[in-house]
Amino acid sequence: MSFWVFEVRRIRIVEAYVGEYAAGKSEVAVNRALELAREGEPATLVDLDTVEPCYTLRPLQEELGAAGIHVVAWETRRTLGLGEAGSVLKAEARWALRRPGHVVFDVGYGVGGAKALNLVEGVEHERWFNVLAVINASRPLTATVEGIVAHVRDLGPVHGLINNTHLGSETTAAVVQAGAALVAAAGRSLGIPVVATTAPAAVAAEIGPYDPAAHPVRPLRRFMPRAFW
Amino acid sequence: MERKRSIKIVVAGEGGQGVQAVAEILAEAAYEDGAQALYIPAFGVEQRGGVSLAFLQISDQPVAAPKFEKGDIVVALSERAVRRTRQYVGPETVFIYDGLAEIKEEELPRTARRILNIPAVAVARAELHPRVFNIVIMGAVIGATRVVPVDQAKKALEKRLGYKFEQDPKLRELNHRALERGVELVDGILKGGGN
Amino acid sequence: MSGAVMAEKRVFMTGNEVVAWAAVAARADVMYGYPITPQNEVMHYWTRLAPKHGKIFLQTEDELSAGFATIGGVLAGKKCFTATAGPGNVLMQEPVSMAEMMRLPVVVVVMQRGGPSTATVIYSQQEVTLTTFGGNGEGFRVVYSTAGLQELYDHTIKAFNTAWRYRFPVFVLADGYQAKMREPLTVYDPVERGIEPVAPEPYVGRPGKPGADRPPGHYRNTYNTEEELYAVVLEQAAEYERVAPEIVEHEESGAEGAAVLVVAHGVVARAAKQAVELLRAEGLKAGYFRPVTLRPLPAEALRTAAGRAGRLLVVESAYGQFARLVRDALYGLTVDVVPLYKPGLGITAEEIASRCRELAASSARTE
Repeated sequence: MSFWVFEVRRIRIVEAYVGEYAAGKSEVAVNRALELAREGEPATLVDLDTVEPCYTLRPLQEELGAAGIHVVAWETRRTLGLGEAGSVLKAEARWALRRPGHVVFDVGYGVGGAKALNLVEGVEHERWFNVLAVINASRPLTATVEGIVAHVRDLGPVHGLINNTHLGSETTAAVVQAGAALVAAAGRSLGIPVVATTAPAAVAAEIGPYDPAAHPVRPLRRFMPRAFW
Repeated sequence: MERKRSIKIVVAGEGGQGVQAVAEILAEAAYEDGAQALYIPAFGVEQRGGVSLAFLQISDQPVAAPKFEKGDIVVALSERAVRRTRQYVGPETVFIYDGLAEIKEEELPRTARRILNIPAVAVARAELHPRVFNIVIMGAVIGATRVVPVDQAKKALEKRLGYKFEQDPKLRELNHRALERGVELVDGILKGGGN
Repeated sequence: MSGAVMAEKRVFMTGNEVVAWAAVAARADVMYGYPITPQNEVMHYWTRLAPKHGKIFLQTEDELSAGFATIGGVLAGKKCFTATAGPGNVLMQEPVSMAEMMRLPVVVVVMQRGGPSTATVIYSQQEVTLTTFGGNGEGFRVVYSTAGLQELYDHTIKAFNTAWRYRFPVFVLADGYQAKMREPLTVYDPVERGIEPVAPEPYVGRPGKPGADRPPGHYRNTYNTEEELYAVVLEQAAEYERVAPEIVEHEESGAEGAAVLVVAHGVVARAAKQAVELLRAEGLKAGYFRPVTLRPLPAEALRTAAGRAGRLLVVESAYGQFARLVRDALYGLTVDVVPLYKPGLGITAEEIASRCRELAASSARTE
C-alpha cells in the first residue's frame, strides 16, 4: 500500500503596489500587509519610495510591527535630514526578497512606476511577483477609461488592477462602484484583470463581499490620515 | 574774511565737464580749512554723458542732511543742467552759468537773486587751456562765496593733482591761474555791477 | 479664449495638482518653473496637462530666470505664472520687484517650507514677510493666503484675474501641507460660473507706430532722479490704496464680546476655526478672525473685530511674521495681543483651544 501525501505548499505572496501619486498605494499596501500577517505567515512591508521616503510609513512603523509586520523603512532619526534631496535606498529594501514569507512593496511617489523595482535584488527570479496598479478614478488624470488605460501603459509591466476609487471622507458606495465600472472597462481594454476593489470598512460592508462588477471587495482600515501625507 | 554760517552749493553740468571734481576739491579745501563739509554726487543712469550734479554744503556746524531745498549758489554748465537745477534756485540764490553753453534767456531762472554769466569756457580757451574750465568755475564759486581762502583751494588742488603737477610743473601754474581768473571774473561782475 | 476646460466635478486631488488644474481653468498660457520642494508637482501636473490643453512650459535655470521669463511672457501678451518655495521665493523677489516697479501682472504660487535658508522641505508659515514685503520696494502686491484645496483652486483662478485687472503682482501663498495633502474638492470652469477671465494683452510689439498711431508702451523699472521715482511711487501708492478695498478679503465669526479672538491665516486658520467651534460648544466665548488677503491686509475689519474682543491670540507657524502685520494694523488699539508661535510646526485645533482655555482661566482669576 502507498499513501499519496499531498503537501499543500502555501504560495508566497510577493506584490508591488504601483500607481499615480496619491492614488492610494500606501493605504492599500499597508492593509494588504496586515491581511497577510493575520494569516500567521511572516509578512514584510517595504517602503520603496525613492522620492519621499519615510513620509508615509514612518509614523506607523511601531503599530505595524506590533501587528506582526516587519516594516522596511527609514526611521527619521536615521536619515540625513536632507529631505528629498539626499535619500538613499535602505539596504534592507534592496534585499527584501531574501526574507521568508510574504513581501509587499509600496512603490511610492509614483513617477517611476514599476521601474523602481529594478532596485530590488532578485526580482527577475521571483516566480509569483505581481505588480498591481492602484487606481482612484476620482483623480482627474485617471477619471476616464482612456485616462486609466494610458496611465497603466506608462507604468511598465502590470499584472492586476485595484479599484481604489474614493473621495476621502466623502466616499460612498456609489463613488466606489462608479469607479469599479471604469476600472473594469479599462482592464478589459488592457487585458489586465481587476484583482479587487478596496474601500473604507464601513463602505465595504455596504457593498458586500463582491462589487457589482464581481470584483472581490477588500475593506480598508484607514492609516494614511495618521501618516505624513 | 567772514565765512557765512553755512553755504549750500549745487554744481551741475554734462558728464565729463568736471563737475564732481570741483565739488570734491572744494569740499577737501573746506575740510582742511577747519569747516564741516558734506558732498554728495548725483548722476543719471547713462554710462557716458548724462547730467552730473554735485551737492556741497560747507558750514561751521555739522551738516544735518545731504540734500537741501534751495542752494545759495547754483552753477549750471549746460542747458540740461539749467533745467535739472531749477528746483534748487530760490529768491536768495546766486545763479551762475556759462554763456557759451547756449542757454536760452527764457530758460534762466528768473526767481534767483542774481544771475551771473561767467565765460569760463571762453576764458579757458583764450588764456589757459580748455581742460581747466572747471577750475575757472571753481574760482568763480570761491569768488562768489568766499567759502574757502584761495590758498586752501590751491592746497586741495595740489593734493588731488599733485602727481600730475610733479610731472609737468606748468600744469600747476595753469590751474592756479585758472582759479585766480575765476575769482576775478566774479569780482569783476559783482563790483563792476554787470548782469 | 478656449471653450469649457472642464466639467464641474467633485474630485480627489493633492494641492500642487490643484494649482495646475486651476491655472488651466484660469486660461493661463505658460508656466515657467524651477524645481524646489514642496511645489515640484505643480510643474509635473502642468506638464502632463499642457499637451492636452495647448499650454506651454519652460524650465529655466533658476528662480530668478523663472520670474523674469514670466515677465517676458506677460509682456508678449500671454497669461503666465510660476511657482516656488523657500530659498526659491527669496530669489523670486528680484523679478517680482521688477513687476512691481513696472506694474505688470504676474502670478506666483508659493508653497511655504521651513526657513530660513534650506531649513526643511516640509512646511511653515515663515515666508509671510518675504511674500508680503520681500522685494526692494513698498510691497504693492496682492497676497492670498489659502486654507485648503478648494480655496487653493478658487484663489489661483482669482489670482490671475486680480493680477490682470489691477496690474500688481499677485501671490497665492500656501504651504507644504496644502501642497501635498489630499482632499476632495470641486473643480469647475470659471466661465460656467460666470467668472470671466480677464483677457491678457501684449504690452510690447503692439501693432501701429508708437507715438503716432498709439501711445508708446514704455515700461520703466529704472529712473534717473530721486524726484522722478518719488512721483512714480506716490502714484503707485495712490492706485494701490484706491483698489485695496476691492481686493481685500477676510473671514470672521464671533468677535462681538469674545473673551479671546483667535487671529490666524492659511492652513492654521482651519485649526483656529475648529478650535473656536470646540470652545463655543464648551461655553467659552471665543471668536475667530482670518485675513484671506495678507496684502492688502483687511486692517479696518481687523480693528473693528479687535475692538470688540477681550484679547487677541495670534497663531502662526512662524516667529511673529504674521503678528507683525497684525500689530501694524492694530496700532493705537490697546487690546492685548498674545502670541502662539510655532515656527515650522503644524498647529492643531486642540493646541489652540488649550491655549484659549488657559487665557480665559487666567483672566477669570484676575477679575
